Parts: sequence; C-alpha cells; structure tokens
Amino acid sequence: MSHDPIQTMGTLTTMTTHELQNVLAIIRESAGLLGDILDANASVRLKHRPKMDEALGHIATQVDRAKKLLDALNRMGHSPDPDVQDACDLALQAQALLHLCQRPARLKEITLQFTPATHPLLVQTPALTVFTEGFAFLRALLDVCPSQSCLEISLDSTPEDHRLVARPSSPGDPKPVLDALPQGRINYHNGTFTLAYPVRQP
Amino acid sequence: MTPISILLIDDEEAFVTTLAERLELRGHKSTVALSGEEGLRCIETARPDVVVLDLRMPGIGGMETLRHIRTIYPTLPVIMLSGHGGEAEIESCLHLGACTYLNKPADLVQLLGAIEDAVAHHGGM
Repeated sequence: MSHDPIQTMGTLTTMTTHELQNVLAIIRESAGLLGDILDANASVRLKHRPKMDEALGHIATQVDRAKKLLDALNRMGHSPDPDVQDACDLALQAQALLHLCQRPARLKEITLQFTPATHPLLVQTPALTVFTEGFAFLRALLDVCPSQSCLEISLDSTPEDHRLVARPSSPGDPKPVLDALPQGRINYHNGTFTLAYPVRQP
Repeated sequence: MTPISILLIDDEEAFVTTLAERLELRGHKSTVALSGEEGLRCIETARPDVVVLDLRMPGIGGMETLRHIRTIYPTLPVIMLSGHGGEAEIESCLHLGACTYLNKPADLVQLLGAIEDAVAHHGGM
C-alpha cells in the first residue's frame, strides 16, 4: 500500500468520482424513467406536463455537465497511476484540464475555446507532470487575460513533440505566463504560447 | 424488434432496478443481480443473450466475474458499465473479452446500441 501523498489524493479522488458517477447514473435513469412514463401516457392531459418536460430536460442537461466534470476529475485522479508514469496521452489530459478550467474562466468572464485533438497524442512524460504543468500554464493565462477576452486552446504536433497551444485575444505582457513554469518550458512567439512534450518513441 | 434477454449485474440497486424497468418498457427482458456471485448463479436460470456488468462491486468484483463468465460461457457477450476505471483496468476488461466498456452514467440510447451490437456480433450462451 502506497503512502505517497499524491497517490493517496489520486486514489481518494477516483474512489469518490466513482461513487458520484453512480449517483449521477441513478439520477439519470430515474429521470429517464419518469420521461418514459410520461411518454407512455401522452394521451392523458396533464396540466403541468410542459413544466415536467422542462424540469426533466434540466436534469438531463445538468447530469451531462456533471459527467464531463467528473470524467475530468477522474482523469486527474488517475494521473499518478503506474501505467501513466512513463507516458500519457496529451489529448486526453488537455481535454480534462480544459473542463476543469471552465469555471475559473467563467468567473473572470473569459471565453475559453478548446479545439480537441482528433487522435491520441502520446508523449514521453508522466501524466501527473502534464496535468500539473498544464494547469499552471492555463491558470497563468487566465490570470493575465482581461475580462471579456477570449483564450483559444488547441493542440499541435511536430515530428519531435506534441504541444498545448494558447492564443489569447489580448496577449499583453507574456512574462507572467512564461514565469509560471521553469525557464524555457513555455515558449512565446507572435502572441502564441506553447507548452511542448516529447513524442513517445515506439 | 426482437426482445433481448439482458442480465444486469450491479450492486447499486436503485440504479440497476430503474435501468431494468426502462429496458422492459422497450420490450426487452431484464434480470437483475446485485453481486458478481448472484450474477453467475443467474446466468444458468435466466439464460441471457448479453450481460451488462459493473466493475467495482463487493465480493468477487466485476473483473473476476468477467473472468468466470469467459471461462464457463466463452461466447456470452459482456458489456462493462462502470464509473471510470483507469486505462489499465479498461484495457484488462477488453483483453479479458468484454465487448465494450461504457462509462456511467451512460445514455440509454448508447447502452441499447452497445447491447444490440453485442448480440448481433457475438455468440450467445
């Protein structure tokens, strides 16, 4: 049994997200069953039927929203797992990070636009490193971006590395972002920041 | 549509009984088992076309249940339906012969698609 604090936090996170996924599954199926029953009795005139449909729609939307957040939290919790200690999929890690950063972006009224990768981007870097560095990178960007601005995040590749690419609509002074990680980890050119990881060798 | 006999193995009773009712409303036959051990016993009596199996349960757990099913009923399709396992766990399930792995809370349309696909492309008991 590991006593490593990060592994412990990861295990507790994944255990809890698993439990919450069960809770969401019960909510989704129960709301779904109510919808099924209403549909099966469509010929019966119910005074509040539109309100019931609307409420069931809200439940479905919020379950989807919570599921995306839990999926992201679960990925974060699995980041210290032994099978992703040497290499991981940058595309999946980035997607999870972006979900978790939507809330701080909304609080600052920054539009966070993410273009996900269409295929895995395997990098020779531990998942936990990608997650913690990626979070520091995004948090620094959200700190410097002004309210009402837009931050575009995408993924890019060269033969040597896969990259997290950030294009703020109002770049401003790049120094606070460049200082978010040790010197040279984040690059800046023509209003675009990049955080690169070496491609996993077969 | 041909009715499908589905065995649902999950220790979350409120979830699995509600899901069973929704499947019944769509014309399928559902049997519920609340543990891996009960699920293995139910296979003989219910003779399901497909099994939907949770991964983490008290007792022998989903992975061990899957291993037993593969040994005793090698052609019976099994769909894993669980909260996220790690990538290694998901890979193990598929390696052990699960048809697919769906994350909870799965959309019913998605689950039904996986069930129909499993029955169409895999054997049965």
